[in-house]
Amino acid sequence: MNIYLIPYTMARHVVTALPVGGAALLAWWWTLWFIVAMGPVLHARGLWWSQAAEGAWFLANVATAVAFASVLFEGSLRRRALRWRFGFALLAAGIAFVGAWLAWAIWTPLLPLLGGQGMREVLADTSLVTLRYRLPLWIGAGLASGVGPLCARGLQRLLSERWGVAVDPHPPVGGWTWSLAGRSTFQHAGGAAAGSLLGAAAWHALGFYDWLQGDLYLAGAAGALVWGLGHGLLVWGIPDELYAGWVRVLSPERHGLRIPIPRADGSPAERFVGHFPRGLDLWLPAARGVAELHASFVVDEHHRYAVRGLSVEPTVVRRFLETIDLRYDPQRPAPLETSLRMEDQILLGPEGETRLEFLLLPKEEH
Amino acid sequence: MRLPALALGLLLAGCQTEPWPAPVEGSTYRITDDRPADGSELRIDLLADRSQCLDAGIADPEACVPRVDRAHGEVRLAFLLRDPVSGAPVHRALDAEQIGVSHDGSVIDDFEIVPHDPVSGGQLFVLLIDSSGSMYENDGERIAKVQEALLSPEVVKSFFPDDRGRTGVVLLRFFGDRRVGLDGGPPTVVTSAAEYRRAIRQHLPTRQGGYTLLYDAAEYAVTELLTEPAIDEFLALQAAEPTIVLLTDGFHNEAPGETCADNVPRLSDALDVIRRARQGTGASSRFTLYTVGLGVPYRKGDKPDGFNQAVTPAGLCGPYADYPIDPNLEDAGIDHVSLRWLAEAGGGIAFTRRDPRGLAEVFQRAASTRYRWYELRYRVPDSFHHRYAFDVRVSLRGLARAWSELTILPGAWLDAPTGRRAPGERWTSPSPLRETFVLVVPVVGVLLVLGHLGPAWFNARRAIFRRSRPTSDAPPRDGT
Repeated sequence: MNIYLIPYTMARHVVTALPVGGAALLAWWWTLWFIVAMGPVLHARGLWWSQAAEGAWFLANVATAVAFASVLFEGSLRRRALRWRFGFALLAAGIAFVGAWLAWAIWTPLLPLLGGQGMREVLADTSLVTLRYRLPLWIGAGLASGVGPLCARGLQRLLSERWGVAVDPHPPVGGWTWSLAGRSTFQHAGGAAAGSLLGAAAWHALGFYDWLQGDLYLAGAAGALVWGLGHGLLVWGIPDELYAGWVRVLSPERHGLRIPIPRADGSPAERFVGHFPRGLDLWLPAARGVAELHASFVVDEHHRYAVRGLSVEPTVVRRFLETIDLRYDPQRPAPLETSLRMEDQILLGPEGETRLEFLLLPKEEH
Repeated sequence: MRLPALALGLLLAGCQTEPWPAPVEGSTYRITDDRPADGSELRIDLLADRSQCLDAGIADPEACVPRVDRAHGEVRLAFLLRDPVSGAPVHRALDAEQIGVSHDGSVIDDFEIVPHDPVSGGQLFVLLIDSSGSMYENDGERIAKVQEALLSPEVVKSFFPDDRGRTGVVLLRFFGDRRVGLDGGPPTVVTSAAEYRRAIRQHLPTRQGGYTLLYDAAEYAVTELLTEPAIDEFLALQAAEPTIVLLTDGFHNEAPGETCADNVPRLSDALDVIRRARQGTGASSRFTLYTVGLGVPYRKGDKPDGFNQAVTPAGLCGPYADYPIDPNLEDAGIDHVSLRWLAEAGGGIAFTRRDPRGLAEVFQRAASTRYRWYELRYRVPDSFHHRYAFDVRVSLRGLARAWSELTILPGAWLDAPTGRRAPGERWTSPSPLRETFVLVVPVVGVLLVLGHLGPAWFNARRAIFRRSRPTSDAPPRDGT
């Protein structure tokens, strides 16, 4: 996936879920194909796995695919070099795979202890279709699918910040803090566990209720798909740092002219707009109601964008159901400013003769 | 180093070193090898995988391998009958009434037996007809019924399905202590329908008399008769298996004043002889003994349940152990309990019929086509019964004392594509694994499309709301 294909709209929150969900579905398909098609072939050659381990295979494969797809997707959006892209993805996948098997190895001996004497025989049945007693396996595998990417992303940040390895053209902004680490851990662990729980719910609903499906064919597919979608939605979102703000002219005279707001290195910046032959970042004709130093666009170190009204001439920000007057008030010591959102329009001049818009575009265009 | 070792250890922990349970092809189920019951007179060989089907010489292993479908609660299993001692295949004509099926201990009613590979070898039918005095009473009313049944076109067609001479009929009668051919001579094999009809018409109505030595007749039929040169030669030449039909209208009775209890040791001895005869290895030991009672049972109740039951006065006679057979019990009806015991020991079925049509059905059934192997299909009413491991037990009813069972272990996580049931079909057909593409490809395609919907919608919206190009009244760009 290319960052160019992901405009800075609400859709960007969903896009991560799509490849991760697709990868999870393919993991389900691969697991099913392996069991059904390859199983008899391998069995004939004496290579065979215990039925008790089949659930671990399924969950580990999905967790691996989810972790791999999540980190690989991030790497492709960040334009990471292929060796790093696949290296981190494989690291995440490996940790998820081992983690899912660990969850199985820990839970399996514990399970018979939970049910009491009467339930031991039932719970020892490897064919027992149950969500109640398999839920910890789902959660464990879900956690593993989150821990893998968490470790990979942590290592990537460590390499960049501690040792200065140029892993990404656009590395994550901001230094390492405990707060950041805590938030990231919560997002990865909580989001991944929630994703796997959603998958478990879908698996159970389709597998248990005859009026929905009543077998585990579509249930397995839905479980994996929902798990992947949930993981993609909850664990890692496309960060704002991959986008750069632009001022674009909508007025007919210079229609389409645009300038970036942040500097090339992504550091905070302020861009000035006005009618002044030199020294301004965006020159616009006075005939269109533009004052000499009319407005400025700023971005801080957290990639937050704002526009300031620097002139007593009319300066208005207009967005859906909202109009903000930024005209400079001489009574105030500082100019008025407002934060900017994607596609906000900025009208300059008494009649709004000059129209600008604020755009967030992939940083690659910078 | 520790991480790969840990991963390897976990993988090894998931390995299975035993060949069973084996995978059920086309599914995520597993299946164990079958466990035949000890002491079965016939071994029901449930075929649990493809290699067993091939080893059994089944030409169509696709129809033979086990099939399961969780959504429809269906199970298909192939089985064949084997000699419990030699392991040689035993070909029998089976129908659903002769089979009992249980799913994890629950009796299944919704099942079907599909026969495969009819046996092309010959068959020898031995008709051993009671010619005691009672059969000829009332102007030969009973023997006339037998004659009518034996001459019905359906029965004749069953005994002689073609003109190739591969089936033969031995017509015998027993009265007193004599067992002779219908014409009073030694046993001969009749191999043509015309000769058969002529013998029935000419000799069967001939009046005979004497007591009914039923047990002796049964012993004779399964031992001496089958070693007669003519019989033995026919069995060998035609690779035939004998089917014996023993018909009577009364009780085993050797002398006046005998009671039902007197028959207890005699029946016990006869059963021992029959069971021993079935434990041999030659064609003569692969007989099936059907018993037919012409009339009505002399009392309510039946043989005690269970195989290998010792014959007791209570079991054989009920409350009538001390009642004289002639005339009291014999006048009341036929000794259906003895017939049941004899048929069970002989691997056949006991019938009680009163009219020619009923008799004809019995003869037809005894002569029905035998098959090499059978396919059992059954369905449980709720797919819930496929959410845990379950035992499938197949047993024979009446034909022989036999059952066998195996365990099926459904996958607890995944299933192969659900089978399809064509309109009008009773059972589903398995769906090939490639049907998973029908699910995966569209879903992945939708995800891809959704991934591109974002920019498409974004650009379309900007084009519609004229953000992407200047308004029509715009002057040309100044190029700066």
